[in-house]
Amino acid sequence: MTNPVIDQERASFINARKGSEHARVPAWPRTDKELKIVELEVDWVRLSTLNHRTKAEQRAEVARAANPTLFTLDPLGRTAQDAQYKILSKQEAFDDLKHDMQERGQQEPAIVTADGVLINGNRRAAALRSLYFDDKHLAAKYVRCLVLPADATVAELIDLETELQIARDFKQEYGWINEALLIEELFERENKDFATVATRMHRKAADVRSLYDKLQQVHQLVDLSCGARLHIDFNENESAFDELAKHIKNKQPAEAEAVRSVYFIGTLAGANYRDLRNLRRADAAALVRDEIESDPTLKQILDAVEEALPGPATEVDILDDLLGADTDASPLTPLLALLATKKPDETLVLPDGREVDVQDVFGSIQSAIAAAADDAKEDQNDQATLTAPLNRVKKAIGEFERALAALPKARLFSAFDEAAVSRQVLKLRELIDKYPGDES
Amino acid sequence: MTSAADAAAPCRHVGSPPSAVVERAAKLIKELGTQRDLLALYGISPSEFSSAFPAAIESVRGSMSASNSNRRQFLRSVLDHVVERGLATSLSTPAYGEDTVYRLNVPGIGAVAIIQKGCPDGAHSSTRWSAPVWAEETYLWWLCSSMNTHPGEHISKGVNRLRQKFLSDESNTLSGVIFNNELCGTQQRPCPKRDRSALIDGQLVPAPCIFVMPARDKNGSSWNWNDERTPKFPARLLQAFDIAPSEAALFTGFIGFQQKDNGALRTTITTRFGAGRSSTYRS
Repeated sequence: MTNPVIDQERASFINARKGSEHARVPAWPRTDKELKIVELEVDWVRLSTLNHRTKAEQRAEVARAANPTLFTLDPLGRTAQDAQYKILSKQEAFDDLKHDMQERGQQEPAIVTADGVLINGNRRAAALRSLYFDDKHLAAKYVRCLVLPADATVAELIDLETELQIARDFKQEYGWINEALLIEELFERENKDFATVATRMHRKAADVRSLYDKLQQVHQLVDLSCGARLHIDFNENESAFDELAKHIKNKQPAEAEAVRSVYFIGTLAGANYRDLRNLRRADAAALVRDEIESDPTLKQILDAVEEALPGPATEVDILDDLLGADTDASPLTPLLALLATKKPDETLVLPDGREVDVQDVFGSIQSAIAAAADDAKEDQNDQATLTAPLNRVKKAIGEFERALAALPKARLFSAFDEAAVSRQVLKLRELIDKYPGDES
Repeated sequence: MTSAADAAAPCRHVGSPPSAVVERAAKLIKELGTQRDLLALYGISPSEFSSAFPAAIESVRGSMSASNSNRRQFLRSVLDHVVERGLATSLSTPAYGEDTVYRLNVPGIGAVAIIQKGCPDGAHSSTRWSAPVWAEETYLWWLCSSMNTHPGEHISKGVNRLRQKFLSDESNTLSGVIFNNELCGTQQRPCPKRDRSALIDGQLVPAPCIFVMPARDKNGSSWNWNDERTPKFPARLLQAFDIAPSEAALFTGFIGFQQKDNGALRTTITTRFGAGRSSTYRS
């Protein structure tokens, strides 16, 4: 696979500037790992719009600009480049990076394609650009770059980026959503083989699979929101998606959907994942719905939802569209279908014509979920207390049966201490005699 | 300063200093007694300062907190407003022990007792009261200006004390508790019900936070846990703040208690402040 977008004019420009300096790039997948170094003006190099570290932010920018081809129509054009620069300059710790670049200069060369598109060093180039143009820091005019061969393929570029970006010695964390998006792309490329993806990512296969699985849940919630929510909005909710994905993996569709709907509504409402953890049970959606239904301030919202959705078939249809026809709707499905499409700054119109702020509704639902979670936790504690004697006795029986089975082999050894075993068995008998029997 | 119990009220205090600053200020005051030179400027010896310290703190507290007469004035004005709106026929202040108790005669209900109290945290404000025998419904009205914690935590502490009394004293039951004073709706305690305020004595007073208390049932193990009780006065009081009876449930919270088989006790406090707006704290 060759790179079809090389701009020959720009490639010639770089070629003409190349000096004699070289550097070795171990991450470059070819056997010849020596690349030439060139200094390029900070506004001449192009930022990579394929940078996985900004994938989630790009989706958000595309939605904000209502321009689906913002980064794809002309990725090296002014509009896409300006949008990408804006994303990079708004990332966390950008000012710290600028300060560091101002103090210490550029320590490591960036890496560009033959026509000057940054494969690595996008943030540093953006920091230098900001230093030069915004802060008039003249020393930031050039960015030192290693130049890749003109025949570098797209596959090689992705491999290089994967090696450079994911390696744990790299400077800035990706954010789990961006990392999962990269994993997803690699997974598709590597014939859906998690082991290969894990090797490329220098991570355990289980970790890679876990990131992939939770991203699938995020995809569903984002799809359900019809544009109201974006992947980047859930960067802070990794724990919730992690626990959800793990829990529903081998569950019956009805339970999976019940728990998913609670997690989705809870995440939208800002519920704490520690609360949601207590609602990983088949009746989770029913518990939360009961809590909501018993509150007259929220009952009106449910009524509004059910008024907006004409019948049970519609409720199922909505979920079927998103999750497949086999999915069982949960008691929260209609409410989720409505709230997912609402942004916190919107309002909901109630059947009586009054308006309520969606943010307020989310706050109330968050509280209702916390209350349901508290009940569920109490219930689980009660169940644990209730079954503890039986479970422990069963365990003791099992252990004693194993001890009896192990006895013949142990007796073959001359050092076997029969008396010690007898003493322990006597203690066991004494314990059994202490059992008071049915006191009722 | 935030705690889970803050969820027991719809509002949070604004502008109160962080607890670390309060602690440093308290430490400074306590250590003033060692500052000989400073004390000399005021003509006080260290030993005099030490002996006068408790009385001085009491004096400062008394001058800074709302006086009892101010409290009485606020509550009196609110209840007068209820009468002026025609929701009660008369208001009187019968002598009743050490507490200030108001008697409202409300058509369709009868005599309603309002027992005036300070912040709910203390025993005096939450457990030292008795319901007048003449009252059809009885309410504690907590007038709390303290910004030590957010209102929800004040309420939660008071409710926990009320629970002890509820479970031990069969003769006394409350219909509910009310949290509202002159701080409500101000910049220090912004109220999400500000659009449901009444102009009383020149101040916009938001609709009070009302919590219905459980009814006693000595054979029960769950009291008002699911908001089963509906006394009549809350809807009448809310009408004074232009909240129609049909909307009263949206502005009436509740308190519930539960005793489990193993004797463990639970409390639920729900505050409601309009359509789609509620908050619950369980402990």
